[in-house]
Amino acid sequence: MRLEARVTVLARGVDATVSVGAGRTLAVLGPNGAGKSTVLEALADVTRPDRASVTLDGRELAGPRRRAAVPARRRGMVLLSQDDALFPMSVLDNVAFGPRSAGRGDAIAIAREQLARVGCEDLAERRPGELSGGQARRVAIARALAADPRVLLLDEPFAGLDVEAASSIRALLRTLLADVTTVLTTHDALDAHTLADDVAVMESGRVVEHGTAADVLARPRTRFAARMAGRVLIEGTMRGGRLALDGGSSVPVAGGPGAGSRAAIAVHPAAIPVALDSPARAGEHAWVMEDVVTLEPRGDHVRAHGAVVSADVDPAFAATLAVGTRIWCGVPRGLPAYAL
Amino acid sequence: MSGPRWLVPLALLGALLVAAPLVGLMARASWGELWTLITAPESLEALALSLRTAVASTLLVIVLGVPLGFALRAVHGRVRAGLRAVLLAPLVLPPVVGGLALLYAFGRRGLIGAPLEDAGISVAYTTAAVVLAQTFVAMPFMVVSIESALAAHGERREAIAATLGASRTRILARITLPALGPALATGAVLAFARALGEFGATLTFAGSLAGVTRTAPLEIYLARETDPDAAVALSLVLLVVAVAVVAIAYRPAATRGLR
Amino acid sequence: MRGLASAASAALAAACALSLAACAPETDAAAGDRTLTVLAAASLADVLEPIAADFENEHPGVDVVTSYAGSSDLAAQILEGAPADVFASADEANMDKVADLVAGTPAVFATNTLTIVVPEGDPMGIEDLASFAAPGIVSVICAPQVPCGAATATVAARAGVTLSPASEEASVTDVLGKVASGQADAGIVYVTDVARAEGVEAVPIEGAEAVVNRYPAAAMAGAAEPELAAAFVDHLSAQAARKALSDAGFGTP
Repeated sequence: MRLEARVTVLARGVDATVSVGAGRTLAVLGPNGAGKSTVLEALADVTRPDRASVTLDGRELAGPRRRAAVPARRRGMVLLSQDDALFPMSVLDNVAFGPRSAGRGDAIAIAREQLARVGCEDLAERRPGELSGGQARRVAIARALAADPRVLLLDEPFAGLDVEAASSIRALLRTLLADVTTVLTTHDALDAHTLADDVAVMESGRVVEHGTAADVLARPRTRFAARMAGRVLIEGTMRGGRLALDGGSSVPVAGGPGAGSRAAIAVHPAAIPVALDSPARAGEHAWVMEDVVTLEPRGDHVRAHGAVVSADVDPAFAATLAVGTRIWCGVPRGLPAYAL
Repeated sequence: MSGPRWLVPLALLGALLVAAPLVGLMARASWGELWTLITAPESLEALALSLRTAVASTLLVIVLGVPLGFALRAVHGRVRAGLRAVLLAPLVLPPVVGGLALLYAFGRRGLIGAPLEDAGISVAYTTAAVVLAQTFVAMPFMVVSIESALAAHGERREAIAATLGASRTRILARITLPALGPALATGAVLAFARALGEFGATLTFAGSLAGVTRTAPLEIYLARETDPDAAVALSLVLLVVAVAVVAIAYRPAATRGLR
Repeated sequence: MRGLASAASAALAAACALSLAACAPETDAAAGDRTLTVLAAASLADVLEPIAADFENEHPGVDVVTSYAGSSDLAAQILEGAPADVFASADEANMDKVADLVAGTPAVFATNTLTIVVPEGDPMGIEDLASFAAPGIVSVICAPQVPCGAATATVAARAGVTLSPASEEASVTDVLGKVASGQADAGIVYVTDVARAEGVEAVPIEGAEAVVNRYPAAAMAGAAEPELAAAFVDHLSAQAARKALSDAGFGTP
C-alpha cells in the first residue's frame, strides 16, 4: 500500500509532497498552522484540494489522468481527527459504522474485536458523552481500524489528552500501527521518534525535509527541521577533522564530508553549557564565543540564541543575560558531522 | 446579565403591551359557555379542518423545508444571501400579499394554476389551497431552523463518516439528521403553529367555505359578525395552542442536541 | 410601581401620535373649530364625501370627519366607546346593536339591492341565479353571517335556487375581488358595489328588488353637539343627498 501524493490547497497556502511505504508510518512534523491537518484532509478528500496527485499502490486516486478524483468514501483512507468526532450513537455502533457502511454482516463482531484491541470492550453500550478523553480517543482509533483502512490518517493523535492518557495511547498505537500504512501529524519530535519510520517536516505549507525518521531527526538539514527535531543545527565548513563555524571558531567533529564542504552537527540545546567568562580550554567541550541575539522563553527554560549556536539555560541564569551579552557556549567535541 | 435600571420600566411597559391584549381576550370570554361554544358544530368543524391542514402542511414543510435548509448551506456568498432572502420572505410578507402572490401563481388564472386548470386540476377553493397557503407561510421557520443548525453543527463528523466508507444517504440518515433532531422539532412546531394561525393568505387565496377552506382563524373572523362570544372562545383555543407551542419550541433543552 | 400606569399612558399617547388616525378622528387645523364625526358603512365611502362637503358648506365652521368600515365593526367600535356623533349603518341589525346609544329614531336614508356580478363581458354566459348551478361555474357569495350573505340567502330562497358557492366570504369586497380577478365566474354583491368596481358588470337578479337592504342613520346620544348631529341625519334625506345616492346606484326611500 505505498502512498505517493502531492496536494495543493491554495486557500490555506499548502503545497506538500509526501510518500509512505507499505506498512510504514510517516510522521508529518511541524508547528501549529504549518498545514499538517490540511494535508491529511486533502489526502482523504474531505477538503477538496485545488490540485492533487494521489497514488495508492500504483492506482491513481486523483491526478492528471483521472477526470474526477476518487471520493473520500471509496479511497480506503480513514481519517481520525483531533476532536474524535464520535457519532451520536453507542460506542459499539460507532465502531461498527465502517464495516456496516461496507455492507458487512459481521459488523458487530468486527466492532467488538477492535474494541477489545484498544481495551474498551466494557464501554460498548456507552454514549460518546459518557466517555473520558482517553476513552473517546481509543474508541475513535477502534472505529478507524474497524473500517480496515488501506491508509490510516491520524491527526495529532495525542492532542487534548492529559499526560497519562497520551502515554498509554502512544504505547497502544506503537503496537496497533505496526502493520498499517499510516500518516500521522504531530508537533512533537517524541511522537515522530517513537511511532514513525519516516518523517516529513512541514514549514508554512511546504514539506522542507522528507526521509527516514533516523535520518531526519538525527541529521536535520535546516534550522527549522532541527528545531522541530528538538535540536540546534550548527553549520560550518569542514577543515580537516574540525567544523569551522561561520563565526570564526571551530569544533572537533567525527566523520563528515571532505575538506571545504558545507557540513553541520545537530546538538540537543540542553547539552550545550553556557558560561559568562572564557572557561579553561580543557574538557569535553569546544567553547564558542557568541553575542546573544535573542532570548526565547520556553516554559521551564530559556533558549539563548547566538549567531551560530543556541543553548538552553535555566531562568535564573537567563535573568543575567540581555541581548548583546557576551557568552561562551560549550559544543560537545566529536559529534558526527554530515554534509548539508 | 442585568442592564442599567432605566431598562426596567421600559421592559415592564413592553410586557404590558404584549400581555394586556391576551389578558383582555381572556377577560372578555364567557367562561361558563366556553365549552358549549368551542364544541358547537361550526367551531369543531373549523378546528378539525385547521388541525388537518396544519398537520398536512407541517409534513410538507418537513419534506421540502429540510432539503431547502441543506441547499442554503450548499451555496455560498451572494447566491446564499439572495436565496435566503427569497426563501424567508414569507416570514415578513404581509399575509394578504402572500395570498395575492399565491393567487397569481396557483389561482385559476395563475402562472401555474391556469395550465393546471386546463389539465382539469383545480387548486383554488379546495382544502389543498389552504395547505398550500399554510406551507408557503410556514416553510421559512423550517429553513431557518435547519440552516442555522447546520451552520452550528459543522461538517467534521460527516467528513469522518465519509472516510469510513459511508454513502451520502447513510451519512444524512445516521449522522446529520439525528444531530438536527432538536432543530427539526423546533422548526416543525413553529411551522405547525404558523400554519394553524394562517389567515390572510388563506382568505385571499383559498376562500372560505365551512368544512373545506374555513379554518379556525377564518371562522373567528366570520363569527365576530354575529357571535362574538364564539369568536372569543375559538380565539382562546388558538391562544392556548400558541403559548404551548412557543413553550415547546423554545424549551431550554432544545439547544442541547446541538453541540 | 406607581409610575407604571402613567408610563403606560405615555406610551399609548406616543403610539397614537405615530398613528393619529387610528386613535382619534383626524382633525384639520385649518378647518372650522366644530367637528362632526360620522362613522359610515364602507359601501358609502364614495358617495358620502360630496354629501358631507355640502353639509360643511351649509354649516360654516363645521368640519365633517368621516370614518368608513364594515357596519358590524363600526357597531363594535361604538359599543367599545369610540367617539361618534353620527352612525350610518348598511343594515338595521347593526343599528339595533347600538340602539341604547342612539338619540331619537334612526332614519332610513338609502336602500341597496343585490345583483349578480360577473367579469366584464360575462365570459361564462351567466344569465340568472339558475346559472350558478351549472356545472363548472365557480361562484362566490357572502357568508350568511354577514348582511349581504343574509340577503343573498333570502333572494336565493325566493327564487327557489340552491346556491353551491366555492367560497362564502366575510365581506362583499372579497366577493367582488374574486370576481374581478377571475378567481370566480360569478358572485352576488350590491348594485352599488358593481357601479364602483372596474372590470366587472352586473347581471340583474329577477325579484331582487323585493329584498331590500335598508341604510339607517342616527345621531348618537353622546354627540358633542346633538343638534348638529341631528341636522346631518336630516341632511342625508335631503334632496341633494338623495340625488347623489341615486346616482351612485342606491335606492332612496
